[in-house]
Amino acid sequence: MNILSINNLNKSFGDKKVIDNMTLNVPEGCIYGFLGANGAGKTTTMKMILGLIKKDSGEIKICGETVSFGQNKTNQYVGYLPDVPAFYKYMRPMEYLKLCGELTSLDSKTIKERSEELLSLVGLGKEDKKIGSFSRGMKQRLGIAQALINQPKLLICDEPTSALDPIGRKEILDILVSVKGKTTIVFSTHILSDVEKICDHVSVLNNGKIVLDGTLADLKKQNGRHDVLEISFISQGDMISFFNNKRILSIQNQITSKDNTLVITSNKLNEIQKTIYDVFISTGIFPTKIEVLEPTMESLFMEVVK
Amino acid sequence: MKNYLVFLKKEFVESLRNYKFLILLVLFIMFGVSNPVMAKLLPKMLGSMDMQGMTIVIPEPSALDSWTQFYKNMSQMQIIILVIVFSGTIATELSKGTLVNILTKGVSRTSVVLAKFTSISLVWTACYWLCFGITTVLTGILLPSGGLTSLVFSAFGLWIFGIMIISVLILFNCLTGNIFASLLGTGGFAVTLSLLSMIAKIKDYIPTILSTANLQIIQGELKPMEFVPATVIACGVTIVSIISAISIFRKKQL
Repeated sequence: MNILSINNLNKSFGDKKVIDNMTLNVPEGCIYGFLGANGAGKTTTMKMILGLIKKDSGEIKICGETVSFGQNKTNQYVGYLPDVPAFYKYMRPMEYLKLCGELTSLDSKTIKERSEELLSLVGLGKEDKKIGSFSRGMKQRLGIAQALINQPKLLICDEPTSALDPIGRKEILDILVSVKGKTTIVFSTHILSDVEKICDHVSVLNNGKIVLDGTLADLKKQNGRHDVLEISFISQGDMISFFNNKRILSIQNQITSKDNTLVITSNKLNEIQKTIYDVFISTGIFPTKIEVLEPTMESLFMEVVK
Repeated sequence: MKNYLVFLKKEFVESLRNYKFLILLVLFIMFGVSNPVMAKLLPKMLGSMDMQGMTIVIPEPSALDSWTQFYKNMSQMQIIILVIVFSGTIATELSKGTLVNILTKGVSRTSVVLAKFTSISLVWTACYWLCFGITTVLTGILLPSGGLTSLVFSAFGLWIFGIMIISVLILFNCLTGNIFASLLGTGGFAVTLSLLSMIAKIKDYIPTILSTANLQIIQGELKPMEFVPATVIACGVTIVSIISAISIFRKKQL
């Protein structure tokens, strides 16, 4: 079942078309990576999903219910973490979660239990300072806690890791992974390694269009026709003599070199590997490293947004 | 309805924690005390000054002097302070983004606007009538009464005027989403009203009269009935402002 489905969505700001006939389905229970360069339209899409801004045309459904702008009914299924979450500075984390809990009509016992549980999940269990003195990473973590207070079916995170240092990023990703299974997560980012770490479903947004969509494994398979072999040598001299071998020269159009490393791109990697190992034996030049490179999210991304 | 009450509670906590309520309370108490005290002491202070042979006849201070102070301070200073203190009530939450978390929890935008209006109105009401009470009690103790009438009714007029100004402030907050534009709009509204009230034909219907003719009411020069048309108009403006504010806020892209 799709927890979120978007059909033929369009949005323009003035003359600029930000979202162009977008169709997207998020299956229940996954972590859905929503990729795109800065300005691709990720935040705009999310705000339309939340009914915060008005769509020009198209349809958005959450749990089968249609989202309409200005009304917040469908938001009862949703938890939202904005890119820079803003809180009331004069409150303490427990008080803020209490406010959020009351606004989602939870009873006070549940609020207390869940607040404690969530604060310890996000690592703020012992914080009793006012939110005004929180660091950005702490606010981001409190942002996740407030988004999860009503146990939403869908958690939408807008670039939750973009502004954080590597440790902060890892912590946020770990938290997201830990709530997987209880809730479906849609998470936008332009950091490709984050997507590779935690997402099982990816779509790439470019110029307002979905240019790539599928499970991470499928995408890699599909776009992995060009396998890449990287061979490093101990010195440049070794590399040049290896490269000048007759049999290697015959495939030179598939080879690029950099420093002491040759990179071979081919869709028949098995044959290439056979040739290469033969040449190693016949010339007596051996590499320091030889590696078959997996297609990375980065290479897929660069390919589709070209 | 429940969300409205929860958000209203949040507004009160906010007014307390960022000292807005406290500041207004202290100021209004100070004005409440100073109205009769200044009325009592001013002639003595003038009398004690060395006038180099000039003689000024100063009439004995009376309750009317105290109420003159009350209405002057209330309409020219205290309302303005109230407006400035709450000038960004919605605009600040919009620019900081604090409302996003609230609205994405499923809280209706109508509740937010109504809770804002209610909380500021209640702060105004509490401070206003406290100031009025203090002035009344101290005036009774310090100054001869001088046969004034309809004290509460006259004060009621200015209170309604304040409620109307708050509703207009909320409207401009929703309309512009900007503190300065809201202040300018609310100020512009008050100025426009007082310009309109210069037109003799319609001046009885312009709410400005509720903040300028109070002394005439308590002196019996104007009948309380004369306040009725302007009171009705002020209530009408309040209702229209709040309804417009809600419908504008519901269409606002956040």
